[in-house]
Amino acid sequence: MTDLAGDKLLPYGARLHELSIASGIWASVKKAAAEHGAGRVKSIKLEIGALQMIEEDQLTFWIQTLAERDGSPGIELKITTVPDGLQMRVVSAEVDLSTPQPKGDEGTSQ
Amino acid sequence: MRLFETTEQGSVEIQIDEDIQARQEELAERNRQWLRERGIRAFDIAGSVGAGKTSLIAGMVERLSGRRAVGVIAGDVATTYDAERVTGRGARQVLQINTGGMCHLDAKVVHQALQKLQDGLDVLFVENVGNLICPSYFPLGVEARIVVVSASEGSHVIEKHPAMFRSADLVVLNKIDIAEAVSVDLARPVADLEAIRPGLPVVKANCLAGVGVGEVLHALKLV
Repeated sequence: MTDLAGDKLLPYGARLHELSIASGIWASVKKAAAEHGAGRVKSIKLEIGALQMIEEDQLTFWIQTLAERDGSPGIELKITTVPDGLQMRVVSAEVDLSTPQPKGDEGTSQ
Repeated sequence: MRLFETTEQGSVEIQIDEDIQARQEELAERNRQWLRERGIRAFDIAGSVGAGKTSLIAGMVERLSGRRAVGVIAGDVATTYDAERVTGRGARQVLQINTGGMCHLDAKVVHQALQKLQDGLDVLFVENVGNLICPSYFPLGVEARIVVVSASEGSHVIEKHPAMFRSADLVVLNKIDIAEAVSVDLARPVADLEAIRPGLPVVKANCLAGVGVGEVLHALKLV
């Protein structure tokens, strides 16, 4: 018995490793900004383990793309690489309290 | 979470301190618990495109047929070819995930597939998307990861992809029958693996012909 016909699962969100991680990072920052009543996000500090083998330019591109979509254009990424580490830590974000909260769905998937 | 520093007029730095990788571990743990509650032993079969993942799964399913209630989740960017290859070999249920371009499975998409499994399975093979890089960073919440690597991938394939082999619990060195034809000395990948993960079990196989498949099942304690 198979479920090939009826249960073929459809495409699921992110398409690449860096986009998948960027989505998770942006969802985390957006949630924190909303909880603080903040608006535009200006910069994000990240701590990335070298063993994640992340392509930083691509990660930056995807985060900036997601942020721009949600009303935070020109966001700056401050990335610290940790030798031999496996973490993908969102340390902090600089946000603008004088602008309205970013728009867009809260459910950006990773 | 707290506000801690005003940086300029109207701007503040908010501390977030969230490890995105840890979130993947949480999602994997959710799967682990789901499988444990149902008594299902699940295995992630990873490796490059064409390494022989589907052949290994088909061989294992055939050998377990009649002895275990086996389910298979096949992950691919597109098509249902892999699921079709396993169908009819004795699995109770075969599901295909099409990721639509995503180059790996992750715990979230596997969790969606788990919800579609029939009751009563006791073994589950999850075939990851063919890739020796990205899957290594996405734990699925299964009991063990088997990485299949074929002789046709060259002598240095293990040395070139250390993260993947660090994440493995068992390595199947497949297509040993063609090693000489593609000028690969099998001693090299075995030595590289020993350097990266000393003591990691390695099974030399020709999955298409069924060679080594029984040894894999023994290593996984499925027979």
